[in-house]
Amino acid sequence: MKNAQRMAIANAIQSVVLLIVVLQLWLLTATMERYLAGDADIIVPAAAASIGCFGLIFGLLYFYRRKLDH
Amino acid sequence: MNLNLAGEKAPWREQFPVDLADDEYRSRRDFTRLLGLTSLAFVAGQLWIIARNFWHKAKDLPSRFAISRVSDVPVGGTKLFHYPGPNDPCVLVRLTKENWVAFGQKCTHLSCPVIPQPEQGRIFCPCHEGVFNIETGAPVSGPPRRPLIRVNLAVAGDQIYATGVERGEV
Repeated sequence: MKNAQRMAIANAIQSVVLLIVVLQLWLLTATMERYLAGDADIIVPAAAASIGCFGLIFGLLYFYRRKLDH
Repeated sequence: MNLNLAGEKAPWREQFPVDLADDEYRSRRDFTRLLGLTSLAFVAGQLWIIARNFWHKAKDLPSRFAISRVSDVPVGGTKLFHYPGPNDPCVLVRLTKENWVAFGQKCTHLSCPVIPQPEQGRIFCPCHEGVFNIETGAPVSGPPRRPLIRVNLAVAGDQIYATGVERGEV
């Protein structure tokens, strides 16, 4: 793989990961706000969504390691 | 690769053998890994909220808690107490001679302590000017969208007891 191609893919992965992390930050603050207001119904679905986001990031990082680094 | 006119490798390359493109790639990769760790930290935060909620539910709660003597609270008077746990502030309000209400003192917006104002028929949150109905705990105006936690009361003789809590829905 050419260096330019590799950098383009790395940039794309980094952008997607950054987007997901910002989404997780929003999810955490929204969950905390609802929880402190006494509404505990939302915390389990929010945690599941956050774990899903992390799984996606983990997959992208795995791709990064397997396909781009080697 | 920097080559001179003769097509040979530039001499300075031997003294500075860093590949800038590769260096940029590596720093980008490390930053992306850091974002991965940040994501993991957010997951830990979500799990911490669940654990905290579970821990609060698992605590043994007193089924009946003596708040005050009836004669100690005049009509229009209030009394602070903690129920069901020591970190759950509540407020008891005597509306009329026979009519009592009690609510959790945490505003359902952002948990600021609310202030009962019986003479105005409302419970007021000074943080963001939220207003609740003093008889029902329902939100009347301001940012809160959920009613206050209601404490069930029972009067026996000269004693008034808390017997449970009810969380209102939106």
